[in-house]
Amino acid sequence: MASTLNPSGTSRLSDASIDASLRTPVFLFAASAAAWLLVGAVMAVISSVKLHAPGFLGDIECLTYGRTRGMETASLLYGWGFNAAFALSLWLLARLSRSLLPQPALLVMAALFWNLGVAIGVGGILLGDGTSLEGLDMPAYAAPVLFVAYVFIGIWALQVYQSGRVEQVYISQWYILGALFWFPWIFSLAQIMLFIDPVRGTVQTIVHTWFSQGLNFLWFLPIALGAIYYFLPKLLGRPIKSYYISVYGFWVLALFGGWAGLGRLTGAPVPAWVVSAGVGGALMLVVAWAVLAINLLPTVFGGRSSHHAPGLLRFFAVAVIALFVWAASTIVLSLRSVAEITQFTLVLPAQSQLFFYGVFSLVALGGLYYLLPRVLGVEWSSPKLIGAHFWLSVIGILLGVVALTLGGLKQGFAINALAAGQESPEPLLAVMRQLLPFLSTQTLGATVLLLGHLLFVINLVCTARKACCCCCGPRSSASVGYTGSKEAVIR
Amino acid sequence: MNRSPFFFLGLFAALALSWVGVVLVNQISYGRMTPVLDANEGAYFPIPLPGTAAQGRQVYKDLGCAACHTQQTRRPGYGVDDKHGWGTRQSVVREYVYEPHVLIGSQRVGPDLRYIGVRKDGQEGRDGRDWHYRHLYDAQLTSPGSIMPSYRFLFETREIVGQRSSKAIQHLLPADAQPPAGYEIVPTDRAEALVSYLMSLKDTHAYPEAANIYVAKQAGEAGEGGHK
Repeated sequence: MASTLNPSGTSRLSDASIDASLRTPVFLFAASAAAWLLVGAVMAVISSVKLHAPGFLGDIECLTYGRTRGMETASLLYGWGFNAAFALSLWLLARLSRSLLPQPALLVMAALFWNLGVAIGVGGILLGDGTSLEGLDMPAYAAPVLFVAYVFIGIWALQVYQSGRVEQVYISQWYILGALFWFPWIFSLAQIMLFIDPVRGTVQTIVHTWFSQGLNFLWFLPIALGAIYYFLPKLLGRPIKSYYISVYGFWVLALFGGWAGLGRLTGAPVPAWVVSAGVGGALMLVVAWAVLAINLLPTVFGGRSSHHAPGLLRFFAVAVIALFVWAASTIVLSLRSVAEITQFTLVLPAQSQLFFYGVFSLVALGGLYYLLPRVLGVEWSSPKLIGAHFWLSVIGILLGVVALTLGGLKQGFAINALAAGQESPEPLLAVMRQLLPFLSTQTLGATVLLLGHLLFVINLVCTARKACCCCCGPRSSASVGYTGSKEAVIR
Repeated sequence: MNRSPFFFLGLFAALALSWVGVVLVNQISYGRMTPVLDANEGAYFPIPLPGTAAQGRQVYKDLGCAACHTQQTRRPGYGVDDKHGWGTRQSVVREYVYEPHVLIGSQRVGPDLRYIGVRKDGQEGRDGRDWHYRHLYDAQLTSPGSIMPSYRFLFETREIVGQRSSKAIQHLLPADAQPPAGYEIVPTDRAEALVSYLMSLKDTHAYPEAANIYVAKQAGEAGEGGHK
């Protein structure tokens, strides 16, 4: 039972030997994630500028707003998000299962293949082969490469889990295995039903929404929760409160996660009951949010920690707060009366940013900052850059989310309401002009995020060089595994 | 919690439930919907797009127009899409049965385009095509203050050889946008296809299912609300 309350576990296998077996593939996933994060952040700035300065890169066909937005989404979701999720998942599964990674060379091949698939996809959007479907922006010809790579990665993760030496399975493993199991299903079904043998009419819209919302609820969210359940008790030095109910939260998410996002289709040319089912799914997830609140909030705010690890803890603490704000928004925005105003406005990208940057990315960054020194056997090159990255990320996310939310609400009320005595609403053109300050603020937020991510990449490159010097140079403590003090790493 | 295969069975069942409930049920219930015959007009609706317009739909997709424009209007009484002139009724599922890739969009940075062909029909001559050419060449010409970028790459400035092209559009442009003497500005094939597609978006046919959509009573509107 102790292992269920304390994710560190005990085994004859040392942490150092587990980390050493993961070194190359996990570093490759992390480095690829960082590179794609930078590409996505650059595209985010370009897209954002284009919204308030349409002349910016205006006459370049391959850089229309629609394409830069598609490249941004694909780079961030499949480049940054998936690579980071793979690194986290493999490391967490290996650590929690107390098992070594078998045949890392083959996993390295799969990682290269995955990134090749993303590069083909992003390049395809640049050349005009994008699908214009958010979350599935990459052309269909990139999908087989991604799918094959994913199957290899998934099998390896399962192998790590199955060869585990710990009898008990921690809740983080549930979430991660769930995500690893669900993604190939939703991805392949969406590819078949939208591109290989497209279904007719707006059934496509339903399939697309089911996939894109499933990507949040059944992939990124479970990965983030799995990491939160591991790192919070680890960094705080105390167990998850009321751990025994965590499994209920997992199954509620599993059952209703596939339904919850359909509320977005309010007013769309689809059967009305689909929207009702979506609203119902979003409401049912209240149980999952309640479980998470009972588990996580007392753990985070439950008095002074015995460990002093504010440096990385703050990534997870902010992510937990963002998670509950986002969870509340999924319920509120699915209500028809609210959607009447917020649908088609900037509120929706604000909500997406809150989840992807505020929840998933902060968790992934915190996780990578924690695991990479252990995997590489050296400490971060500059702990100060970690702090700077955190604050720039928080400021960037806040600027973007707040600006888009306020701008979106202004947009929604202006274009969906008739002023007293008016026959027609304010023209959209005039409304959009009023949003320019909000859109400019969003650009500022995207730029601050880009700056933060640049610091992350610089830190990663310096740390990798340090690790390389340690490995290739004269024998040192680092060459036989990470031996640095915990205080130095968890800054 | 252990390594029971029932765990994976549970994962599969949970996902299958949402796929069956959300996707499969809809595919069975209306995934084979066909065009409807209007006996009065003696024609089936929706009408398939002509070749050029179908090519234009591809241009619409590859330029990513759906990132800023929706193609779905909401019912009168739910929002004010009708008051914007974006459509007089809700878009219905049957309208989309011929679309190989349905792009209803999720953002209205620009206006809804589902019935743009109706709005611009007859505007500025040539069935509104000129308005679209001017708008694509420089949105400021038609919509001052617009945040829509210029799509000049859809036009070609070329030397006049022999007779001037009947497709030339410089007469639609202001003095500062005129090409050098001896040159003309003509839309590329892609521009022509895109404009044909936009002009084809005018399916306002009164589909039978549109009559069953609940429409809330508007303030000050005479008569009953409810089904209309």
